[in-house]
Amino acid sequence: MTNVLIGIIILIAIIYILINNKIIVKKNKVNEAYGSIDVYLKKRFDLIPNLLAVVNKYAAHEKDLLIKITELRSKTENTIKPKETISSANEMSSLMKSLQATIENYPDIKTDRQFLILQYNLTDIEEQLSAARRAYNAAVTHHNDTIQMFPANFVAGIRRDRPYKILETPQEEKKNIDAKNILS
Amino acid sequence: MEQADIKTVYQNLKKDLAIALQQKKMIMKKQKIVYITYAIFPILVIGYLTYIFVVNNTLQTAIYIDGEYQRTSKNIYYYFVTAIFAFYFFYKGLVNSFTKEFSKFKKIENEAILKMVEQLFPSFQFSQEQQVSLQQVKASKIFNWIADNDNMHTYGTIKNTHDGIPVHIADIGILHKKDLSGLVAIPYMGQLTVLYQLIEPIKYTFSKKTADNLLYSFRGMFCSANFPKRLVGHTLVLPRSIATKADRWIVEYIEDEPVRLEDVRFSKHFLVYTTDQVEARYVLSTSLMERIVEFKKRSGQNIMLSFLHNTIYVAIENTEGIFSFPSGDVSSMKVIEEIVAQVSLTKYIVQDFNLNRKIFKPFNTQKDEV
Repeated sequence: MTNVLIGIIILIAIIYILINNKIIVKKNKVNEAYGSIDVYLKKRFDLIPNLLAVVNKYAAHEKDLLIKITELRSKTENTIKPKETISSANEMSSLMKSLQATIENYPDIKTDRQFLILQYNLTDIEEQLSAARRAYNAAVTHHNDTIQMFPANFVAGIRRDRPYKILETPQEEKKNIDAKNILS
Repeated sequence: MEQADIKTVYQNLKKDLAIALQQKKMIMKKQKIVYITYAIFPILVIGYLTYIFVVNNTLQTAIYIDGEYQRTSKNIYYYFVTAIFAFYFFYKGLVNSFTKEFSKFKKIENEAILKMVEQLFPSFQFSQEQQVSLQQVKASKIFNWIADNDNMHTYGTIKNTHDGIPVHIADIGILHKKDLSGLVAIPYMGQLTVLYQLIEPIKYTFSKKTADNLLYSFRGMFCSANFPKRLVGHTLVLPRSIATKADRWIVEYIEDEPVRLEDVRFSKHFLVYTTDQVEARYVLSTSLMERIVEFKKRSGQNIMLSFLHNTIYVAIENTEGIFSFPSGDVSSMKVIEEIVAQVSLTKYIVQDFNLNRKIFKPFNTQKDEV
């Protein structure tokens, strides 16, 4: 009887260790995915001053928008909390879109080689950022699925693991395209 | 894509195609004879083995002749051996004669295909001599089962430009050598393996494919073009099947991992493996995933894709090949229509996968072509 009890305890311990490790792996994947978002945000962050400098040469009248972007950049620089970082990043995305729409009114800028390079890089980074968000959401879904399902939910309860929140698409990206705004 | 009128091409090549298709009919009949003859060989071998193990060893029979017992098995043994040798030489002669006629047919078929492609697509650079190397196909990482000692044949290559995007396609056949040597160590598996290898070709007796197409592990289109994104790792899109999963499981291929994508329609048809989860999603944007599903529907075949550096590789399975006649009793018109349908897919590779995306590229794209 004692041997059976010891056997059951060892089995439970092994199962606990395996599930615990699985949760840790999933958690690390979420952190890794968040790290990727951070890298692309940093890349975009570094690109903004150069872009603003070039735009300023041709579209100095759009001071309000340029100041807004500069202020938000400074604000983001001091942000530490992930939630705030993501919120600032979303705000920045919508401002960058407004900037691109504004640039349409200045045809001269499109002949500037430096601007074209920066615009290409910015578009590329935005695409990478979008991919990083999707990868993060996939990692979060994996993690949440794991900790909410039996028997891992018991282990997660002991570990006090909470589900992560999925990143929502910025409201600006959800909006329908306003052709009038773009074509005007 | 410049393409001549199918009816005009048909009128020009009606005679040539009729001769080639007649030749094909004849060769298919002979192929059937070769395989039926081959089917007799295992019967002889099994008969002989039965004799050795059952009659000679356990059921030794003797007949009482002239006051003494005489074993009859010796005569039967000689009959069997003589029959096997006689059959072997007869079969070898038959195969030699078939091989010669088959080569003649392939020459006629190639000439007809060349004329067809040249007339149908005058602006294309078509070649039946240029060979794509096995290493080039292996480098795409689509076929992780390719071994260095496998054989590959290129039936034809086309270089063309769609919307300013150069696309290279090749009609290839990969012959993967199955390594069954490991089975020999298991008791009786050696004998069973030999027996299987003897019996396996009998199934080809009923095949409508020509002999050269019977043994390929992959036959179809292999295509490469520049992809308008910069990639560091690789991402593979493979058909969702047990075979794909088994391949990834059996072959040691640990540099990439599976990706679970959010597009349900896409995931129903494909499995994705990548070295970088973010890069896989960067490559497979939601719109591209939709286009890949549409392209699969359009082609009606198994399609496999690989995104590596700045190149997209597309493999489209077609067990009859692009630059060969379709199997079965087909008309000359059908032959022309099939080639047009297959070659036209390259146009859709550019359009559907958005390779002609008009973007300013401040860097020189590295060319990695077939």
